[in-house]
Amino acid sequence: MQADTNNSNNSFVLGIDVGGTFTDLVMIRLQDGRAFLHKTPSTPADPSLAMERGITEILVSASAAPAQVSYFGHGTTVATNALIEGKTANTALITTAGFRDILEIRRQRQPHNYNIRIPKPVSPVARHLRCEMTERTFLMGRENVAPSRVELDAHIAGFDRAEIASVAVVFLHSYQNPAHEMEVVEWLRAALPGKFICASHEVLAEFREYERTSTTVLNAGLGPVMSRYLDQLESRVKSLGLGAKPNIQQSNGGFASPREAGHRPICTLASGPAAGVIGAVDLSRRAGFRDLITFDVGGTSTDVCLIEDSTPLIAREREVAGYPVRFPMIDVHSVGAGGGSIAWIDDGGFLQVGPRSAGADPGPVCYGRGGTEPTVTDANVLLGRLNPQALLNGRMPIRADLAREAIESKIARPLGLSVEDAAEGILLILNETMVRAIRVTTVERGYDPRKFALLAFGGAGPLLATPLARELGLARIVVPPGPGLLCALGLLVADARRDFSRTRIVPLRNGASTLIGQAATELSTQADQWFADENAAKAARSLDWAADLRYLGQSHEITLPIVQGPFDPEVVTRLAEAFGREHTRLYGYAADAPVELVTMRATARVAMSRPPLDVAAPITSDPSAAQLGSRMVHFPGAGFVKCPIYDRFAIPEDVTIAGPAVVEQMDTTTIVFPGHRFQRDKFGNLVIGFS
Amino acid sequence: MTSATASSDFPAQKVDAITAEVIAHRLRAASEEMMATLVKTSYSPNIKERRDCSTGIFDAQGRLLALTAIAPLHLSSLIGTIENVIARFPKDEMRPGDAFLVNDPYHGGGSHLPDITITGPVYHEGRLVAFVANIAHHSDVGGKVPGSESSDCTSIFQEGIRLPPVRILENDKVCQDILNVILLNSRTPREREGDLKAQIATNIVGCRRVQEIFDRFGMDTTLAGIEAWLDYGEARARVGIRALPDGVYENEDFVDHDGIVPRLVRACVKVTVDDERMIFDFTGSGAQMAGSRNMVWNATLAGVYYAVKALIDPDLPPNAGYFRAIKVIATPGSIFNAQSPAAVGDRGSTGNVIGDVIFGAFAKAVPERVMAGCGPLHGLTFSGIDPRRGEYFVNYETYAGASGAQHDQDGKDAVRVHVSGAANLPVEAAEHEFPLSILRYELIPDSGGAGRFRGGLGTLREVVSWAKEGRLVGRGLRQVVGAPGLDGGSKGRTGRFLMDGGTPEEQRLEANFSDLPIEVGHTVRIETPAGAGFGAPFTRDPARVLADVIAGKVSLAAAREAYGVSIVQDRRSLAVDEKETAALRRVSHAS
Repeated sequence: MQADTNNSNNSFVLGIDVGGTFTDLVMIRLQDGRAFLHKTPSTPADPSLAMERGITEILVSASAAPAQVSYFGHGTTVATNALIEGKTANTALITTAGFRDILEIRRQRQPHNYNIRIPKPVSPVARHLRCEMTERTFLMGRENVAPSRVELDAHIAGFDRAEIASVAVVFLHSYQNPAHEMEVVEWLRAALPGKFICASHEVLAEFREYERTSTTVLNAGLGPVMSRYLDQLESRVKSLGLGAKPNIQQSNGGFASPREAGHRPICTLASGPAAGVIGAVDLSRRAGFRDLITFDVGGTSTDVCLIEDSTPLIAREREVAGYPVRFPMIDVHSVGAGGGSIAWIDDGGFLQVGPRSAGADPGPVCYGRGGTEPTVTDANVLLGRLNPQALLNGRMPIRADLAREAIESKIARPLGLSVEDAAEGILLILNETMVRAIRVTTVERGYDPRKFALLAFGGAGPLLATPLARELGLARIVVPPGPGLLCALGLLVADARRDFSRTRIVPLRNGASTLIGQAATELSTQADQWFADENAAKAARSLDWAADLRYLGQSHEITLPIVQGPFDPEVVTRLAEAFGREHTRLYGYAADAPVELVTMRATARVAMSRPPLDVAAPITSDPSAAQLGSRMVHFPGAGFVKCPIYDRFAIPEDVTIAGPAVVEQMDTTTIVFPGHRFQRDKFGNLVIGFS
Repeated sequence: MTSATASSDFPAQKVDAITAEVIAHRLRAASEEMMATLVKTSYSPNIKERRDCSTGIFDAQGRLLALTAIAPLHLSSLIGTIENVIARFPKDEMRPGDAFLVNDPYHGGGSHLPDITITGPVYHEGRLVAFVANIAHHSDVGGKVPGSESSDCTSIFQEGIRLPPVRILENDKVCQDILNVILLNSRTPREREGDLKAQIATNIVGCRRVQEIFDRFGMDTTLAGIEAWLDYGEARARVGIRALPDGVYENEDFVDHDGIVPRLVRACVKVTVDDERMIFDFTGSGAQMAGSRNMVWNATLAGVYYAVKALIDPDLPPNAGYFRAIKVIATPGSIFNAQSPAAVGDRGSTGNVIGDVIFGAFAKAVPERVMAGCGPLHGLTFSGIDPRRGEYFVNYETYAGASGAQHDQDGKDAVRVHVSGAANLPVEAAEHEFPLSILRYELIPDSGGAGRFRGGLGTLREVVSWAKEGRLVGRGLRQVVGAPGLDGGSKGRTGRFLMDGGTPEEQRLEANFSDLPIEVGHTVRIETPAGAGFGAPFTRDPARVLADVIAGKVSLAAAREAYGVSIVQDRRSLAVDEKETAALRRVSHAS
């Protein structure tokens, strides 16, 4: 593993984020930090095709040779798509006798409490492929029962017929006693060469069997899919003559080598949004904003993530295609509303916005492609916030008349409002949904939103940011140079990362430190092995510790960072005290109850050096040179006012411009309300202030 | 009464449609934030993980404005609370910083004693403008059994501490005397204290949010917005009701065990759909039972409100306006309108029968929207001394049955049904926390009622107890009469409790029992009832029967007998023998 990407002045770093519709590429010349951006349509059947085309094209625009690429970071939706589309490999599960239905019993809840029509999601392993073995780890009362080879062989005999490509092994309490899983995995690997085999203690050495089983079988189902993809990718990269191997972005914010990603493909879920957050962290750290809320608004949905002190919030679990996946991942909260969300009047007579979206086809009414239901975009066109003539640098003509007609007939008239008030109403209702989403990620978790800046991106983020930031009392809005840049940038600045964990349920009292010390030793042995496997330079390695704790009798843990060992009794005392403080911060009280340690965690990182970044600005101090003209724009309370239109990339650095203003660029539009003001900083960000 | 049309019918002078909606949005958001606070800050798994709780906001008259209820049985659990509190503590005697606590279902509490409600007034410009309230299921409030829920209680006095509305908070200070009384009456006081503090903190958050709404929009606009929001709830419910065919639909089912002895107690309903109104008349249902399966009035309302939401509009927001479109009639002293001192602890079992009986009635009107009879949960509570720690423990658990089939899909295996919705405790967590070993946790093959679409499968769980002085409390419905099928579908299999199942000492336990000793090393098996089928079994697509046989959900014998499908080994896999299947199905048709 190369820990230093800055090794040559002639070299470039390359980041590629493959999304469902577009493949975004960014290259940075290490000599001067000059960034080159490129976008090309994705090729879902074989995503490496679009990558190959994109790489060829971006190399030309950067005047670079393939061999000059010294680092290659890659975000992929291969794992996510395979799960959502159900195109995972045919998987068998070997599990403890009596427990093969854990995957179907789940947490015994209905998919929806009131909508009985929604069926349960299909189990990722068919019932007849969930094979039982007479093995057991008991916590009390009985002797453990070891697995038998004969019993396993009988199952293996059936795999051939069922065309099994991968096998997951999940035994009860394997986080505490992995020996049974290890033995069976060894037998399986010997008996089934070439098949993907994984055990639950390797994927997630934590208790709660349903979540662990689900995570492990999904990982197994993705194994062959990811390996196939990585093989294709590596051969294309090789044939292009790139000077670097692809590193794969993971949902925890770090990257994995192709070897790692092949073993643990589940960790690459949602790697695109994670890269976006990492890019946001990097860009804002450079620009001096350490507390941020990301606000990434697309056509159908909006992603929100909280970043405090340049550290994104981490979630422990997420549901994908109806099944839980549990491991640390950047906590991106998704809301089903965006620029294409449709406004409609419900049965009770209230205006609703979303969750249905006009999508790309037919799109909003104003695209003139047959859409008849008014959307958020139509409201923005009607109010003059979006260019009422054309979008995408003039490539897409806009029919403001159609937008007006639709809002008039479908919203304004039924509600007895003027057409402008109806359009403002659509944005107001949408804003309520967004406010709610951000309150869930901030206030409800004990964070005060007022110290955060809103980082607005995506096609509609900068358009919708101001009312949101004002309602939440945020200090300012930051609009990065281009919506695609953040993801691709994130791919270039991520560290290599792997998270290790192990459940050890022990009350924090005398004697606990020995058990904690043992768990820590096990985790650091695993981490050292990983560092060695990845050839990580010694100086670049780091290991951070954390523990999940709770009061005795609770079933919900809080993760607390802890200092590295030795884990002596004093550490244990301090840990219990720190838990009480954190419980008070989050929940308002500390209980007079014993504290219990549940899971030990270690995060191993290999630090990468960050490339310089320069987004060139014109050398002038006169903003009027950037003004494209003006148009009438509607603002709440003010009605239509004449508003200057600026070209985003012609705006000079560090000059304060007063609102109202509209800032246009090819792929987004930024609105600055009357009374507010904005500047462009030296990283190309627009920074909007209110006071 | 307001107009019931779908068009905007807001008091236009005071509030426009958009502002009214924003106010409504914020009331709901405030209630949701209360729920988030309650779940987050509570101490016990029952609230934090199983979310057996709800939060709500009421106006000064006690009309429900917003309710966040994860378990549908909580849909009405706060109804009536405000009136009862006001009756004892007149509004002009209330002060900011007050909060009141109540749990007695006959005095404005929830639907049984473990549900403790805390409510408090909200002020704007010195005027009482609203109430915030929340209710949470406490896993022990005293009474004769650990967990305070036993079907064989014969009076509410056996079920735990009864509290009429009492002041729990004065000037933002906890009334310690009251708290001490509650804590002394619970077997698990530490949890109770954590949970009660969480409930108090929840109302503080709610109060602040509601005040912010009034501050933001002002008194007149906010009050007008509230009226518009209630009208909206009513209008939306009426639109949904109007889409149902008018008529009178009747159905009956039975509670098959009164908590003391197995006997059939009639549960019947006559639903009248009249344009945009609905009447649910439970007259003719049995007299209140000797055991604790009775439902107080507001528990019955919850069953009705749940069914209406599920049938006409799953996203219908619960508010007092929606409730205006529905009328409920139940004779005082009957199982659906129990009178003090009838025991009511296990009202949830009967609550599931209400779901089945209403869905069965609507099967005659809108068969495409209903499901066949469901297998309700079974409850089993372990208690005793954990030999590892020498400490007393209570493990209160409920095990899912399954849902009934629908006209175009099989019932869901292993789910909580109708008004109940709590999650299970992971096996690995249970074994760490309690002196128990779980030996099996699986679906029961052949349990789902046969039909064109099959009922969901019930679950089996086998548990060894290592507790010293171990005791069991069990409660199960549909151990005598299985869930009823629809349109020719078969009944779901009944449930049962077994001691030492599969051994020479196997012994079937009663459907309901309390304080049953269990010796160290003995096992209990819980088999929950399954869902019923929809449509005649012989019309089931043989390919579906084959898939069930391959999955091991239906046996070869049942495929043949219940479905008339012959399945044979065809070289390396199983296949349908089409000829024999046709013959089997013909014979049955002829007979």
